[in-house]
Amino acid sequence: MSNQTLALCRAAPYGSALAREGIEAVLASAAMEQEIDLLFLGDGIFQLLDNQAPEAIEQKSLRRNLMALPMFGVEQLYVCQRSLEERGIGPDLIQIPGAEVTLVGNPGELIAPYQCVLSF
Amino acid sequence: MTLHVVSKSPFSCQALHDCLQSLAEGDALLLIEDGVYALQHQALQSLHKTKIYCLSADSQARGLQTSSASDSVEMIDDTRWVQLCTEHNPIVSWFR
Repeated sequence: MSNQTLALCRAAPYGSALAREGIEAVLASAAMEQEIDLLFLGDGIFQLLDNQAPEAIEQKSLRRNLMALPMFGVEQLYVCQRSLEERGIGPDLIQIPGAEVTLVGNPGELIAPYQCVLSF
Repeated sequence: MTLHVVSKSPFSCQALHDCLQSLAEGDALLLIEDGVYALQHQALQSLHKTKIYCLSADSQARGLQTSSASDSVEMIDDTRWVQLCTEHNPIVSWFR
């Protein structure tokens, strides 16, 4: 794990470009065969919600990019448990087919072994 | 050990809140830019096991005298900042 990169996703999906840019950066590095994991924290967990339909606000679904992650070999998604609880979201609402979603009680311990952490 | 760098005010943004949620034991916290307003925030008072640093130029620029900071905060210059970056891994930026 020590050579891996962790992408820290803290932005809600449509209010700014940051969430999309983060996922695109992750997909790009995965396409370059970099090992990368994701940790969704704070409002970033809203990226994972099922049933996103942003057509009426004229945006493309970010959920579709997330669904592509397993195809690019990114199968490990970590989600901050406390962030979910604070926002009243159950773990069943944030599944990504083909990816393993792991709830994390202590994000600090998860971050520590990584050599590189990217913030989005 | 992780170095957490916070650059936004805790009164306008979740950066410090999310950062504190992600602290592991032994991690260090560095306040820069508007992050130095956290010196006035009560959340810092409860961090007994975390080493807290603050970029002195940024706090002075904003009129935050060292006396208003708690005694547990070490005021640092750019050279010490670079040194901290060499001493810690990984480094996590909390910029929004």
